[in-house]
Amino acid sequence: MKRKLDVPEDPAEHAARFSIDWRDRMEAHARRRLRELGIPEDQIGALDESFGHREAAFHPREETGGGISPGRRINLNSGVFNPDLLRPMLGEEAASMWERLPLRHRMDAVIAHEYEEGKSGDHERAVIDAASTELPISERAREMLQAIAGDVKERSR
Amino acid sequence: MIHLLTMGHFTPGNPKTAAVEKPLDMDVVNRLLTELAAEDAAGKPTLDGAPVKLKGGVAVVAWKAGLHRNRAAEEFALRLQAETGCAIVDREHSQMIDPGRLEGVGDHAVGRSGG
Repeated sequence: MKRKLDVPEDPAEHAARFSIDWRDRMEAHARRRLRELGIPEDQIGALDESFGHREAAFHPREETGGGISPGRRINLNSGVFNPDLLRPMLGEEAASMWERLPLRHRMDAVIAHEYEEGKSGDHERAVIDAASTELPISERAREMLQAIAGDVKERSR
Repeated sequence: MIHLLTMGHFTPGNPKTAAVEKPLDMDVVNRLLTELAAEDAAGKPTLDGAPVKLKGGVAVVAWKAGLHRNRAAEEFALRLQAETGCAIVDREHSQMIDPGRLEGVGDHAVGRSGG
């Protein structure tokens, strides 16, 4: 008898469940990539209230891709696994580019965005600045960030 | 990367680590959603196309992605705050959101036309 898989219809919830199962591996992966990109050690990770207030670079229950906390501390979260993270807020070009983007480039894009948001304290400014960040992110991540920054043109037509 | 608006009654301190002190008044939440929200194919409420998630006594909806702001979500947050006194927070970015930062939709129609 085949066992029916319990897969949530909501991609955000699916991503969160997957992230909870694999949180330890993702914690190591996120922490390593933050270091490789040159994020200072004291800005890697933030308190995760969902898991005993541990300090973590990956917060599996959060769904936004990443976040920034006091002290410019950066964490990634389950949103990096969500293929629909940018839908329906952004146009199809940026949303589908994100959908096709491999995980490591999604992580780079999120890290650059949160890093720039930590510097300016402003989301909109970070959208613009991240596309030309000094962090050594991958070219595909940079193209993703350029598409996000350019999305306003698509909407304003 | 994206920002969410979370509305609820929280314990004092950093919104990222705060606990829910008491649940939102769902009668008010549901009435405001009837006024402001559209529905997706599954009949769930959406604001500017973004699903409204009601869980753990709070309401959560996508607010910012790229340079786009969800004004319908702002309107919902403003009205919910005015009627219930709840807090508006961006939990993932450890921020309390002052209602003065939100514009809402003003006199513009929302609901079905707001998708």
